[in-house]
Amino acid sequence: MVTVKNLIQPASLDEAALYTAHNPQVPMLAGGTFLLAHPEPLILETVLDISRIVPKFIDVKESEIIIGSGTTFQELLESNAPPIFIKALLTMSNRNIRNRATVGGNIGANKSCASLIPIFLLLDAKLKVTSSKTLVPLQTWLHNPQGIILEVHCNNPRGLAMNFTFFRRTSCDLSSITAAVAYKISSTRSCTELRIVLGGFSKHAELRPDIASLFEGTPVPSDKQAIRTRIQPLLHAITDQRGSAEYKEYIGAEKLAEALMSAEVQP
Amino acid sequence: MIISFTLNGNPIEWDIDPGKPLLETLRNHGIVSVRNGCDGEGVCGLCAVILNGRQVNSCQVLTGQIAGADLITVDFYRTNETIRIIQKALIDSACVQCGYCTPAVTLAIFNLLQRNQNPDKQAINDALSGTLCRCTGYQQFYNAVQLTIKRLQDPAYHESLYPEFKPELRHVGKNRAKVDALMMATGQRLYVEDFVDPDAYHVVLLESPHAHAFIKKIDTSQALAMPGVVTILTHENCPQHTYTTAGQGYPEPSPYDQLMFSRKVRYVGDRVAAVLARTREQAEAAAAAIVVEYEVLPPVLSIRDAQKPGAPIVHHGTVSYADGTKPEGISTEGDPREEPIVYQFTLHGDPHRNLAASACDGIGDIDKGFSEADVVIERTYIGNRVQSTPLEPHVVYAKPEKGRLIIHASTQVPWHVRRIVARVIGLPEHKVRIIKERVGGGFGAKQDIVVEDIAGYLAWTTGLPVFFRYTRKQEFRSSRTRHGMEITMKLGAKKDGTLTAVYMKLDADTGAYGQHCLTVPMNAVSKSLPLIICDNMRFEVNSWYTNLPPAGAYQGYGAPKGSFAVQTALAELAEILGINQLDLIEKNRVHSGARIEILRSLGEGRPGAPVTLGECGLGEMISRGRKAFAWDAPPPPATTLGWRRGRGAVIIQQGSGLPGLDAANAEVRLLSDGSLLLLSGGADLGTGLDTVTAKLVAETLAVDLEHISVVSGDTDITPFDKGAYASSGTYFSGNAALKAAEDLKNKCLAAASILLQEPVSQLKLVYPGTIQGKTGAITLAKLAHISVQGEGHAELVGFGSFKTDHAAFPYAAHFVDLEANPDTGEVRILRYHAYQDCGTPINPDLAMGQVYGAVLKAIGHSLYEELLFDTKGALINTNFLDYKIPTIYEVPEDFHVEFVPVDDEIGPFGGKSVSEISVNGAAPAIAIALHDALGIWCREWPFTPERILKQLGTIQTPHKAVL
Repeated sequence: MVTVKNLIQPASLDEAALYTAHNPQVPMLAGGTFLLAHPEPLILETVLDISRIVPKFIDVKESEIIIGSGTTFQELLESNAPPIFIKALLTMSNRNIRNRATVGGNIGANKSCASLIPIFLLLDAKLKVTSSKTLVPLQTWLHNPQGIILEVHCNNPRGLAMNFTFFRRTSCDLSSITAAVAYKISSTRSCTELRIVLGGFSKHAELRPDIASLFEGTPVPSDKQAIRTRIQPLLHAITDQRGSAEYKEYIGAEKLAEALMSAEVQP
Repeated sequence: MIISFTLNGNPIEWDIDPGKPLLETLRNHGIVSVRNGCDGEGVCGLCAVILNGRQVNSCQVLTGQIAGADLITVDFYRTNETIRIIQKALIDSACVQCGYCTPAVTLAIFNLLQRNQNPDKQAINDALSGTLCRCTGYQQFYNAVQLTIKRLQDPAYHESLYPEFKPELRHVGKNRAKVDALMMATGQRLYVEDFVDPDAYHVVLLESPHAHAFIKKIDTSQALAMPGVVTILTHENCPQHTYTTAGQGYPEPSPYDQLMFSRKVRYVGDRVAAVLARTREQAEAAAAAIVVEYEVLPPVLSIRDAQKPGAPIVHHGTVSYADGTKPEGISTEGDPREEPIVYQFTLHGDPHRNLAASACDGIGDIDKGFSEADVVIERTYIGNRVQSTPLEPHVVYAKPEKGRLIIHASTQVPWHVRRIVARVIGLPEHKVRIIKERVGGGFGAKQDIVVEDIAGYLAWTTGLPVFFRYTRKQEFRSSRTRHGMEITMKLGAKKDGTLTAVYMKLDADTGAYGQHCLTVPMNAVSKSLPLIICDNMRFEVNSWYTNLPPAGAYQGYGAPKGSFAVQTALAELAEILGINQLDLIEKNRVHSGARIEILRSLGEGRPGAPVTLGECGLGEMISRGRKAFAWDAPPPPATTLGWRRGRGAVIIQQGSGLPGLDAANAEVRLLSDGSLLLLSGGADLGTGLDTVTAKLVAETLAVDLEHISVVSGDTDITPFDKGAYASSGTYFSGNAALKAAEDLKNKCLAAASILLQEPVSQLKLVYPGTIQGKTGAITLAKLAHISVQGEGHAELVGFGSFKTDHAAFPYAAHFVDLEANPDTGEVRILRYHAYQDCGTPINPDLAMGQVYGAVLKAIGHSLYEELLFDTKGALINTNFLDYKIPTIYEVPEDFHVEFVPVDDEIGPFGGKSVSEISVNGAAPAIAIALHDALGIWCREWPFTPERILKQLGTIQTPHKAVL
């Protein structure tokens, strides 16, 4: 269980931004499902509580979706977010956690099993953060996180074929593997502008252009074994309590094949 | 910091530490209904509250975050009718077992109904997805939600949710509220941690980082000087009595092979030192400041390692037998640095070869049996270690009081705790009182004394109140696990399926110490072989020391692994013979009137005797399952494209206590208003034993349950009972209560005979609590009042003592229907039916809950639960994120329990045991169904997707328990 010696609760975003600019090492607390999830006793010296000041809203526009970073998973689930979001959101553990976990927290934690990062990466997400006057591409921010995330802006996936698959041991487990795909279907039934994100094969979920290039411009894949055979050599996992490297690589290829084959056009 | 918020509808101002977890703050302010099951990992959900209308885990909220918020805990029931209706529905649906999760479940349902007045199953699953329950199997929660909805519309709504039995009886066989359920549902102070005084001191352990090492030097000087530290216990200053932690009857069939602290550590997590300090934080800081120098030894990390010539020796102390027998043929002189190993009598162990215990015996001529067979198969089955994971970890509060040591314990065996702790501390038993509080899940793990010895000793020697609670990590590695086992089955059979020979060789991993080292593996044999009638049978059991965490008792007590081997081997034989699996079972199974010869070799620690079985419900149970699963028709198609469907069925058994070894006692007092006080030695660990004993008394004395209070498991107040293990509760403790009630009834009749001036033969005790004669009548109240007056005949008290040589076997048939994905190895249980003969179900709805809970546990063990170790022997999955237990989502779509009662002649009103047996079926039934679906035999459990893919040849890397 985590105890915080010095809980800073700024009254405004400006105050929080100023604090974090001067104390970039101080962890931020929104829903707490990452920072405070600690089975060993842990005392944190100082934590910046931004839970009350980060925006909470969901704005689904014709071409863009904007989500306040303080929006919880459950709030997003209950919104009019597109189906691919719902699929990803439901992989977050259980209702108690979804009631607390925030969109910003999921990005900030940047775990390999993150539920939303794959979707945001596919949809070219950009972040509004306190440290920048312009929107920062999500991928850039993940490599160099700075400031407080305020909003996530991403493309509306309408018309895109998308899928999100995952593998976990039980229904409320962390996903060992996640695979997310997005592509356009051309008039000749080929995949174009294919993007693939994989989680579970590195410290963070990542775009995999190397794998996407295997299928770019080809007919929508339909032979699972053939897809798996092409993908598996490109996956490199580690052996741990969730499985052997060989197994994870196999199941990653399997789940990605499933994602490619059964992607659904977003309404 | 002062904060204002609304708590359960009331504006509140508290002076709080904003950085403390809300869970801690609430408990410190007396809201004990929020429980801690995962130490802040945020997975168990037992600390749930409703914060601003949404259910969240209070371990993941800092107290400073609730300023201005609206907070609801289950204590809201005092003013909220809906919560009261939910609580009542949970009780009436038999959802309250240990009760540790019940407040969280109540809140989850409350929150669900706030947003959805007519939830479907998916919505219920979602609402309860964040709450772990290890007792109930979740199935009856669906009934509770539906019952709540109906009662919200009509508060008087009543529905008979579960079948009842014995129409001629008033209480027995009827569904009645569990006697302690309301207290649990309303989140009252019931568990050990709820009784800890503010001035209690805290214990923190320093644990070994090595699997096998001598402590060369330990320096506690710096730690002792730290703030708040009272004392530090190590091998240098602790008592020097060896003992076993197994809470078994004395003399125990387990070697005395451990000290409170040893100079040698034998697994990663073994005790090195215990710090007693004013606060837990101070104790933790001091434990971290202890300097230890180890001489690291090579570890033994598997059964095979233990058997190797020249293997490191886990226990190398001097070996002796307490009963005076001279050990022969084994090494007895040991390393003087190690503590002696004292067997109370021979268990045929050879510790210096790492053999903790062994046994072998059989009936008939095994060689002749195999020579007569047309087909012989030999298969090896592996069952890896699993954890019982009670949501309340091991916990104790010990304090000296009026010259005695009082221990509030969460235990299954209060009398064994008293005996063992008194011996370790060096006190006579009269100086020690054990009070068993409500137990937040035991499942066998709390049959061992793993915290009470240290807390008791520290409290006694320092004169301070001492609180000691295992962390979840310690619970995983230092409570007790199910033994790892490798079982080789060799079967011989005629072409028509008649068995001619059965050979079972079992190797078990008892871990670092030898508690239950023989009895658990022997139970794997004695609860699986007697299901088969065969003239030629032989078994060989070896239990090995390793440097892995200590194994011990866990629901089923070895039987799940024995059943897995025997039932799966029979199915493999059926396939080879081309015989329907159920037909092969029918041909060879035990049946009514059968003489079970193998029991001659399977006495519980003493010579056995063959048993001629009375009535047995197996035929009817198989028949019902066969029909329900349309067994003789082709299997239905898979529900998902690309998946494959398969079915499996098994028969299983257990016992009902230990005949000839154990005993139970009870006392029933008739109070002056005609109500009754039942003093039961039995230890209710959430299974409903107190309800069972109360019903037996109420039935016998013709009163309502409301007229009885049960006090149980307090060594000062209640009479001796062996404790809650070996499926003995209903049979032993229940029979003791029944006998006490019968004794009281006879005494009442005798007293009434004088007062009414009628012979006893003319008197009847009739409902409600009245003795009716031919010419007059007297109520129990009046009788009690008169009896304690000057002209009376002394207080009317009944005493009951029960022991027996009679073996009562519950039987069951389990059927499973699943589908599996050949591409991913994923498995989905679609249907699971458990047909159960537990004799008369004393309280059918609670009994069903026991079966549901046990089956779901066993499904978890079969499919994904497994303790994993690194190459140095350290357990790596010590939390609920890494060690998965089933959630409500894992409940099979069609999950069905059905009783087929066959009365036992000795059991109370025909009752037998019910709980443990139900963990024995899932592993073999699922293995058989997987073969039906995928054509592979999975011989190592859990059947993870990875192992299934390996078996299918899809991947090559063997998955190992040691990574």
